[in-house]
Amino acid sequence: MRDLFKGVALFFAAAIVFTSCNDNDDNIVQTEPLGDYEEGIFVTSEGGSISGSVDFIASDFSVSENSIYANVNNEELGTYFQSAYFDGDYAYLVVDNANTITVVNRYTFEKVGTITGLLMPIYMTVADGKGYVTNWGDPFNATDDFIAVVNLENFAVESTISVGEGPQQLVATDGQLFVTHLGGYSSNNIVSVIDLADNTVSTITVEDNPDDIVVNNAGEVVVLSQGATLYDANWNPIGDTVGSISFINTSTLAVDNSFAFAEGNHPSLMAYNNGVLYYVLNGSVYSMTDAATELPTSADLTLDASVYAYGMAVDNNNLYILNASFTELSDLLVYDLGTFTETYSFEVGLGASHVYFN
Amino acid sequence: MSMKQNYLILFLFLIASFEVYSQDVPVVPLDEVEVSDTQLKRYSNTQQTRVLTDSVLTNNSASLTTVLNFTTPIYFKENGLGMVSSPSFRGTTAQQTAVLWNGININSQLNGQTDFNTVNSRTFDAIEVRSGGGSVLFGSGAIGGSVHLNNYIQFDKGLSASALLKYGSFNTLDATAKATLSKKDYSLQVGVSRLSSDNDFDFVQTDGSNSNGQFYNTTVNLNGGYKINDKNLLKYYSYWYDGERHFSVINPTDVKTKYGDYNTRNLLEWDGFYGKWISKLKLAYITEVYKYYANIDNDTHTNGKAKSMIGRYDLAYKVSPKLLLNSVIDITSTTGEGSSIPETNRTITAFNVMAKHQLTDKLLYEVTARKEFTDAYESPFLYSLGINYNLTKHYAISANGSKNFRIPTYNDLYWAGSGNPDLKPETSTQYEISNTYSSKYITLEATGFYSDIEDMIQWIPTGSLWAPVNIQRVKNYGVEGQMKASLKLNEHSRVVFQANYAYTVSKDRETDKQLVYVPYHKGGASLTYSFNQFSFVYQSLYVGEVFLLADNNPRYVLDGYSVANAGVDYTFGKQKTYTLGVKFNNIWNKAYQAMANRYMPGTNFNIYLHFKL
Repeated sequence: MRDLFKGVALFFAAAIVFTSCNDNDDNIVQTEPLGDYEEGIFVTSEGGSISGSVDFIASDFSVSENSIYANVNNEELGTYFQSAYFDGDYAYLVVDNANTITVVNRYTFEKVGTITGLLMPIYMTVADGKGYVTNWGDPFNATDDFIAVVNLENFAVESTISVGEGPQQLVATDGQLFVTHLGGYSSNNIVSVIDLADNTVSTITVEDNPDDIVVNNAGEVVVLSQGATLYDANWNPIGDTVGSISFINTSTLAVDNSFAFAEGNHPSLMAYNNGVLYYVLNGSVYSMTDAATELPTSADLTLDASVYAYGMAVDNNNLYILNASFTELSDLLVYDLGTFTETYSFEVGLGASHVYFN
Repeated sequence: MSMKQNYLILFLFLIASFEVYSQDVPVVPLDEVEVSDTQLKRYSNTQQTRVLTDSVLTNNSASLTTVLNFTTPIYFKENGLGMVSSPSFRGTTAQQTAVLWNGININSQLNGQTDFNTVNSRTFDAIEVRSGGGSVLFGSGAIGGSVHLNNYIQFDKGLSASALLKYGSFNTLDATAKATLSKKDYSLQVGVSRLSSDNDFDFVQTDGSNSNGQFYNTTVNLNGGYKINDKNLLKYYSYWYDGERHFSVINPTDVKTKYGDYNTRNLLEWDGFYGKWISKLKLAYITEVYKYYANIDNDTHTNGKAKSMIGRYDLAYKVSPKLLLNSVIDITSTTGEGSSIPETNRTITAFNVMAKHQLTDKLLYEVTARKEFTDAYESPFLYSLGINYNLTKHYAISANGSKNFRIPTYNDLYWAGSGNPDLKPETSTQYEISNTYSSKYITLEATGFYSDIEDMIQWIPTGSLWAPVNIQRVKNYGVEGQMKASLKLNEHSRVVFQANYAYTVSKDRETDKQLVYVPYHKGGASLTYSFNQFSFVYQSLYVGEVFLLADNNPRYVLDGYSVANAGVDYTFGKQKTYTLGVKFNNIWNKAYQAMANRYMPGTNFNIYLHFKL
């Protein structure tokens, strides 16, 4: 009840801010707002001891609201909130332990429906009007992992495509789906390629633990492999496999180019905007253009040692780093992309992991 | 203190002819014969203990969580009814609460704690709860306090048998049968308990019901004693536990999981009473196995197991009736392994010295010290000093200071890829002062405590893995109070009132924030009114609000709650007695959660028959 009250209060607070902004802009043609969350940034948090959540921050950083899904719908999403995908009027909220994707209106965050029939869903994308969701299945079973194909009219899983262990992030381009295999509870080193015409699967081998994946302006699929730590039979660390950034040609499915990291270096997050690729390595943010021929040697930004970078995103003006905590609320840190100085910070959810733009 | 008086009354000669040539014939207290938790009996004069006996245990649920929740200041993080239950004693963690079975520390070698929903309280003759530090006496984990599960080996009592059968809401079956045969020189006790429940209650005030919460467990114990002669006694205890719990889910679409526990314990003890010397040699073998099914639809599971062989030699010397000197050597050899733990052996050797001295009629003090040797971690020197002073016949004051520890567990040290072999034990320096007033009708106790816990082990994200480090420093302080009043109203009726309350502050020293899931306030009370063969009981529990996040964010607080139970029973029969009863839990049908998003059941009931021969 108290949460409901708080939600209503925040709703009005946000409404006043928005309407007062609009009133002052006499030259702008008034259009019917699509919802409270039409213009801004979403941060999704995995949750843990409390439910996963979505926080909203207005594009001009003037106002923010925590736990918008709970405020609007008076229910929680569950744990662990892995990722979101935005398509059309909808946002798809993927919660692995609940085995659900909660579908909401991306402007109002009112719940529209629920996708079930999933097992440990991790990421989703949409291609040719269908949803594709990576699923770990039973995480202790290496052979039951799959991509669920979702009918977006009725939110039913209409078929599944069997893939290797631990499918993670995915992008659709050129009539194909590219899926990194971080390996779930284990480790893997493949990118699955699914031909959307007939759902046949082929694989491309990359370095160990491929996770983030983007399509660059040249049309290449870029994959960040973190590399793995090697252990002996008694689980003593005995070495590392290298991490890399690999560039996959979508026609030949060959790795045309690959930049390897030094042994023992494990890059973790990757984001891409406007021909520049960003990644995090050892607490620093590095960037490289599409034209780069080798990995950068100097960092754009060295994060404070207390920052646990668990998510990263970039838009035209800002770099966003999620300083995650799993015992208290996390922080969204906003850096100016020109100067790499911190300009804003916002309190976000428990175990914050992704930033999305509306 | 009432308990102590009980034991003073129980101090009797075991064998009159014992040590006839001695001038001051040492008495062998009955405790030394009947109870194997020797250190609890010898050195609990300067700290608060409370005993839960048969009638309390019978009246309450078989779950150790429920019994202790209503009767002691221990707070429980119960992850839904019957699910994983972690005690917090004086604001400490579950690993900082030691659980002993007949004197043997049984906290898991793998995760360092005892899940209080995997212990069936009916198997024991008495459950004793001792507040405060006791690592010298009870080993790792005795920081917040210790819980002692004891069976008594008694002689010359003849044949007795009892059966308790309870059945109630959610298809919950709670059945126990016990039989004891004891003669002058031998004793044999056998007990079997079974607890099972569908645990599928409807939520109060919320749509939905508890899903995938079903559980069962079976406990068998067999205990025996044999007096070889006047001076030598053999005792044997065995315990076998097999349980399976499905873990209830928060969302109906959650993956359903289950967990199996299988524990065995065996203890062989040879006691020798040689004049002023008391010698106790103990050999114990305890095993623990768990299996976790991350998806009940599949056979795949993860597991862990540990086996410990414990040898202990306890030699006490009664310098005089007022001065007891004691040394103990203890060797524990453990082998553990599991899906994520390579087979690893660790051996810990501990040397202890203890003394208890009744300096004057009014003043008693106890001193203890312990040093462990192992190559698994660096072990600190542990000690305690306690004083008890009887100011008047009714009023006593005691003070105790001690250094205690909890050692790194197998998971902490050896977990594949994450274990940290450089971990140190968590250590605690603590002080407490108790006041006790006791008279014929009423006992009042109030204790103030302070402890400083260093090198708390926390699992924190490091790179892509979580790994344990000695990082946190915590201070705990607060007050515990308890009272018991008993009044015979007339020939037919008696009323007994008991209450306990704890105020607990447990703060991270760096952030000065209260730790999550530690309520500032917790209290319980019970009123029993007996009229002829009828007995009415009303018991209530209050648990204050707790923070869910480490920054004490006021948006993430789990509300406090109060919940009450009431029951009535009727006893008839002379030599054989039958008790028929009914008990209603949560009689006011409160909607409450002991942990976030874990609903507890509304009003539910059970009926029971207790038969004693």
